[in-house]
Amino acid sequence: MIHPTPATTLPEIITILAGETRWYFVHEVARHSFILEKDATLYCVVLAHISDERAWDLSLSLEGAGSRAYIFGAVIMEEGARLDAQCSVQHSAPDTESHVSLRSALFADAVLTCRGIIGSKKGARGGKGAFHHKSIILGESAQVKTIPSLEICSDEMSAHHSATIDLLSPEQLWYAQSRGISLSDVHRLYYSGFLAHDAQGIPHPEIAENMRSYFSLQ
Amino acid sequence: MSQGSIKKTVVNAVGDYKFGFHSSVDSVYTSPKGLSREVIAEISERKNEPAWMREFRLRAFDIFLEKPMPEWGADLSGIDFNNIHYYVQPQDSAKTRWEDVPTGIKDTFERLGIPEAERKFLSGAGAQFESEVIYHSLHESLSKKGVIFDSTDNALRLYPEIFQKYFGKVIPPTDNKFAALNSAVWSGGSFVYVPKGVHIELPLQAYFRINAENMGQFERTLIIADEGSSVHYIEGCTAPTYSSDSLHSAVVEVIALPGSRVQYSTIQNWSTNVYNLVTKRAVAYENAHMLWLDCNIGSKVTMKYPAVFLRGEGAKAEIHSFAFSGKGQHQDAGAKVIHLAPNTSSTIHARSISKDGGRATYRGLVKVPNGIKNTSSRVVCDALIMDSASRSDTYPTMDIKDDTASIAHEASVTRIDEATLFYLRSRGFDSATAAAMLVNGFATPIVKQLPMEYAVEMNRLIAIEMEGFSQ
Repeated sequence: MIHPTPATTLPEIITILAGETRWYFVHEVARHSFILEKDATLYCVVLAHISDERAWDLSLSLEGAGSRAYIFGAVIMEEGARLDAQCSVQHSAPDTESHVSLRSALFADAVLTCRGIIGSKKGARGGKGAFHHKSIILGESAQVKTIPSLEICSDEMSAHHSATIDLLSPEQLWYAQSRGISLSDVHRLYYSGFLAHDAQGIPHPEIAENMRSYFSLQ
Repeated sequence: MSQGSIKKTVVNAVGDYKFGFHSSVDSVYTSPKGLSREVIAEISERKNEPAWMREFRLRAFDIFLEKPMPEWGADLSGIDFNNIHYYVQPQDSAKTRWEDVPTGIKDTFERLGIPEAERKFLSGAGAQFESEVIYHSLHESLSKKGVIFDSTDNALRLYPEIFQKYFGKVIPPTDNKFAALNSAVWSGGSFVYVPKGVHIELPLQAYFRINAENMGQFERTLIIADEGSSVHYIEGCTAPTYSSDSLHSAVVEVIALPGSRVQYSTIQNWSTNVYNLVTKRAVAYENAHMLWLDCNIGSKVTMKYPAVFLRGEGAKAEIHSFAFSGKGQHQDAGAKVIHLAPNTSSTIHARSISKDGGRATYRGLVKVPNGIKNTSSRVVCDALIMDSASRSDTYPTMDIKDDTASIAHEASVTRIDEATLFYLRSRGFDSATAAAMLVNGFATPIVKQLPMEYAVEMNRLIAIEMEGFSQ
């Protein structure tokens, strides 16, 4: 089975060469810039368990025609944890595609600020960009500030973003507890299912399986 | 002056902007260009205001001087505060009979179709020309029920207690630089009070017209809907097209008391030499329902983010925003909702179209402070870019500090669907007509919130903007 490597062991700037397909499967968050050349493809799966104060800065520059980047991020934030996350994607060439999906689960007093920016330059015709950020709040006084921005300079590309902030409803909680499941187990079941949801979209069976088991073991 | 003598003294090409004409109307008083304490004192003096208002204005002027220009949003570097007339008085006093309005002004509004609209489907109408409201009327049956619909200047004189209780409380001069400017030089605008339990079935309308060159219009509108009442207020605006810029900086305060419903609809169609920098905010108390419907077609630059502060449990906010940004225009519009009470809900739906190099920006905020339980909010922003020279930006912010909030946001930026365009063209529609049909369809979820007569006018305005489109 493939195991995630520490994000800090990767170089800060990574260039994916023309025609190359590269996978990164990392745990924890850091600062990384990916530059994609012509027809390069990047898959990056980030799993993080935050218990203190961290910053996560991910930059994707789709400079080559036909380049594609797929980012899947899943973060558990422990009680009182702080995370300042930024993900910017710049489409600079024709027929580029980006898909960023971040999921976060926050326990009591955790604070998450997430900025997502999809930008396009003139000439990025046929480009497609998507940024999705979903959060669930599992403890009192947890805070989410999410700013998913689009800066699109042309009609030649389409872009979408979405963000949701939700909670474990009292009905769901009551149902699970009425079946004899403890509150901590309810939380674990809920966030492990929620965070691992994107695994089904990862076209790498081993990484997808590891992503599922990573959160169920936390 | 007859309608025939209304001349088209348009410096730059008016193009298809049919409201770009200028009327030759002699004003009673025009303040010298530029802003000073003397100009403000003169405005207050001419209006014969109480001392507290004069002090309020001068204090606001100090705040205006202290506050820097905003460093975010649209480019405001073209505003020359020293090249603006801050007060132009077109006639001696507001009239309640249309026949009494001076001919030149009357002809202007006749040409804009305002009295016709009033006769057909309004409960009351007001018209502001330059800095002053020149006409105001209210259906007699509503006056008998205690409804007040008057110019804000008259309200200060006639209803001092309720006026002072609410004026400047929702948007204080310290709020932002342009709120401070408005507070210093405000003139005109509407004052609406709807008593407890009174429902105004047909809309009240106000129409704002800038006529002079290098003119600043700073109307101040205050709407108070008492418990269990309802009202729909509609405003429209146009201006002549000049080579130099004008400034429109209004402040609108709405107080929706428990159980009331207020809809505030705007069809902004200023000429493309007007900076439109407006602060609009409502406070909604228990179970009140506030709806902003904000349609921005005209202006050079618009920065406007209607806001609702949900202060009472069960209060509800809806903000529907539509922006069309053509050549040389930047529509920086959006919405703000602050949930300050439990069990409150909000919906924001924004749609924008940018064409011919225009730039449309959605800028929004949904905020839920810690301890405010069981709130829900849904934000949807859709943008349509018509050509490769245009631009669309989306900057939503969701600041959620309570663990029981349910928040959803989605946005998209797309181009016009070529397959649908092709289908329409294959059925004999030319490019412009087909594109106008698609754009009207795109705008429909917002425009349908307007009364039918206004929705028809909005669709027509969009069709005019789409003339000449080809792909």
